[in-house]
Amino acid sequence: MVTIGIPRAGTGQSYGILWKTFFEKLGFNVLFSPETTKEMVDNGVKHCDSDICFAIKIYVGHVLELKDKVDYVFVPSISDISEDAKASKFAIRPERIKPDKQFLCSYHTALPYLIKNMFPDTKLLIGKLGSDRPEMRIGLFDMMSKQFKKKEPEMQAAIKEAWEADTKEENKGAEGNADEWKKAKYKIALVGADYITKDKFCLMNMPSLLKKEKAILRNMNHPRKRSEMDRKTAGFYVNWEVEQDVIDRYFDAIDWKEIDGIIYIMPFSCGPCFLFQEQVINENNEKPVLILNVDESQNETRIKTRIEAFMDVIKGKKKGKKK
Amino acid sequence: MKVSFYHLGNSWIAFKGMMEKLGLEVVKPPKITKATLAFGVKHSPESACEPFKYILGEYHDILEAGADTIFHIENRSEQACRIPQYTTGPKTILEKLGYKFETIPWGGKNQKELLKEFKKFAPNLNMISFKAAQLFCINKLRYIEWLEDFVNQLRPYAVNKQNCDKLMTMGLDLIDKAQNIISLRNAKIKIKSMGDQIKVDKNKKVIPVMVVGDLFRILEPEANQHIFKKLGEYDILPYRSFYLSQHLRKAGNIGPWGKRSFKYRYKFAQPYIEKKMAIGTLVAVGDTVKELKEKKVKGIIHLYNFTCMPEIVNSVIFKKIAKDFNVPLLSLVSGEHELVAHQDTRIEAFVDLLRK
Repeated sequence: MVTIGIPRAGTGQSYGILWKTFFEKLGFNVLFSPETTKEMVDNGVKHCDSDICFAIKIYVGHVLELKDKVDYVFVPSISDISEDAKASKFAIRPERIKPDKQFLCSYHTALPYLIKNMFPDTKLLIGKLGSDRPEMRIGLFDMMSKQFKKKEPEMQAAIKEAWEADTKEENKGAEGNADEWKKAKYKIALVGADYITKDKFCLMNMPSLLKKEKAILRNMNHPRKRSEMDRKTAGFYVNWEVEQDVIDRYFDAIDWKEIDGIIYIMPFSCGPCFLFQEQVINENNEKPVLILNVDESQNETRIKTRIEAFMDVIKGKKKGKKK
Repeated sequence: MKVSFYHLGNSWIAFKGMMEKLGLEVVKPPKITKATLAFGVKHSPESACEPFKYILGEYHDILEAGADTIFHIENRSEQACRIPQYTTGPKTILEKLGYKFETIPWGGKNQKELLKEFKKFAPNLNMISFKAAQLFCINKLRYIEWLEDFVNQLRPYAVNKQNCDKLMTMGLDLIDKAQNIISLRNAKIKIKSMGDQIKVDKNKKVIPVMVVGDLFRILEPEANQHIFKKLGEYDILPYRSFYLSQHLRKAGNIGPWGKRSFKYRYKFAQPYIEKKMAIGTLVAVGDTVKELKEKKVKGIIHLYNFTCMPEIVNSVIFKKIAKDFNVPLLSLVSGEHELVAHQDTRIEAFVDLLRK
């Protein structure tokens, strides 16, 4: 039986369950990589160029971990949707390119090729996907029919169940622990891309540090749905899908009255984030914001000092309001 | 209303031709100086790449020179580079500083929508004259690119290198003056005859090298510290893969030409990368592999900017290509602190390596 490995990093954090169910329904064994460890990150950093985004370095670490354990490592290239629709024979009606299409950053677009050129001996399963619902179907079908000669009806049934599993997973995360939420004195929102906020390595010991300060951390990973028009008139429309999500989460946290402070977390040298975060945060600074850059140096004292200072700001602000 | 545009090397001559054909008043963009970059660095986000800083500085220079409308090229259809944000970025920054101006974006949309936008500035415009003006611009760009290649490939052989610089300025002047395609063709003939008069030493051993990189550093001599000129002085024959006219044709949806040549070059890139990232990244890989397979070039020079995402990916791929074909690779990363002497030393060392 063929085993496919899915790295638990990058886009695998948001779509992992979907891909897992899809492959399993088609009769493959699926192996997730374990949670990120220090060793994996060091491995990734060692093999990457120094300029590359930290999130990609983690991804490379995961791929190296999986490499010898599985037959294929599934590395998707997620980018513009319309191109997939054009390229694939499964496309029913090739969509026209919209001028304001959103896409993922170039690292995610070129991820499989990056890994292919760095480690030529790894067996990769490259899927050219779009992140939209029907389009991810096209990319996956194309890949599976080329590599394993699977038939379309079989795949249609599999992808349907996969999407169901994915929505189930999403709804599960939304509720959280209500009791702790009520007890906590200070409520803090965590804003960032999925591949950082869902990764415990990147968060370091932040939740426990906040617990000592009687605060609770809430991951804002379910943004309110907004229309394109809504975004444009509010003046925070960007061309990247993931980063647009991050901005939406930030504004959700600002609008939510219970939230006392916001932690804005991002990987070091994330190209798109560095461009606009300054502008977005400077213009909407009603609540205290802590901007954290994650990189491979795991200095706990640094985080501790920053969190303490941040908590002092929040406490001061709350006291000021009561008076 | 006065229109102006940023340089992009010598491409501004073509933009000027187009604006004049559309019947708009043009302000010549002032030369790039150190103050231009200094202004850009001062007011842009810290990790924006060098082109953003240059473009912001140039916008400022243009507005100070008296223009109130800025024309710029735009391609939003198929890229994951940060360029789409860059077209709106300088505007918001300058508006905060108190400048008021309008922009005319060109490309990325279909012709009908574009015409609607241009009609705001030139009310008497119709489809035929609009298309003619765009085609004229692209033709002019082609002649400029031809001239650049002609001079760059003549320079390594020339006995007196300064004559080539003179030919360049005279040629650009001739192309600038040409008002229709026939006079452009005549200018080309004239430049060729002028080129023949330059003394050359055909027995000289020159080393062909591929120069690839992001569009701004390839096009703008101020940003790449006149690298093509410098390479010519070291008796190196530079080939380049990026031609703006080819991309503008496609991005502007003006005509069907140029698409086939792209697909042809993508085939060569396939063993390494299959996805487009930004303008010209995939073509650059394809071209390099093609030239290396034909044994036309003996080395690769890769120019890119600090924090440029697509080119960082490409740098990994070029490393693999250089390893596969066993040729030397020089990666020149630049930020705003780049020194001329620094780059020269690295090029000199690279040339020594190539000679041996």
